Amino acid sequence: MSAADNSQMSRILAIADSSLHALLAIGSATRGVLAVASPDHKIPTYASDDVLGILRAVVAIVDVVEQGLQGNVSIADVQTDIANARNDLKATLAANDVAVQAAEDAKFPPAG
Amino acid sequence: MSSRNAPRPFLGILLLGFIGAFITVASCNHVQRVDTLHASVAAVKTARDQFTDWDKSHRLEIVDAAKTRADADAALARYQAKQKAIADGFALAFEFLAVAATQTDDPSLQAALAKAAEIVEAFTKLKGDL
Repeated sequence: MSAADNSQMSRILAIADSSLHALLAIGSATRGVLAVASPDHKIPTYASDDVLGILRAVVAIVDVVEQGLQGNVSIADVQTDIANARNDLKATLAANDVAVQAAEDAKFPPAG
Repeated sequence: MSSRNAPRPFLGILLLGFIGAFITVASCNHVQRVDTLHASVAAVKTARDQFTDWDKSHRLEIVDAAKTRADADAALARYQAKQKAIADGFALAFEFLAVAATQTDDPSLQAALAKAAEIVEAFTKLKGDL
């Protein structure tokens, strides 16, 4: 490899390294925003559901990148993650059923 | 149509792009396969959370807008037929990902990623339609 090639490769690696650090920094900052925004929904006036959804997606992506860098994700972890994800879907929809039923009962009290 | 129910394609586009990127780089390499599956599960989970949040809000809006309990029950029943299709789609996407996690072939991985992208798109469409 020529000196010029080496120089170009160094620049590319430096850019990649900077980009990765920037991505991790964005992930860290986004987690901070969500920590403030999510628990009591203080900022829905300023941030729509979509914005919060995108922020959560960014955090999810950065989580994956971070774990990939650490090299500590096994196929067993992924399988466990999938099983939990399926169960969480059922549990959350069941919780939604309860919340909606409660709202309906509050608005239209059952007879008797 | 309320602002909450207005079409909001940004998240869907983001997630579809994310999954699509992994479809293009999916390979037989074991480590890459695990990373691809892991990232895809994360993307589908994010979409699932969006769906369950939206589902609750939408159903509460239906109750809020109803004049009588019968109206509310009828409107909820109409919505729940559509909701079930999406919920089943997410369950199926997780099923495909689970199968891909037990295999080493490319077709199972490609099928799982395609199914994941499909359900995210279907959910985005549902939000736009209602």
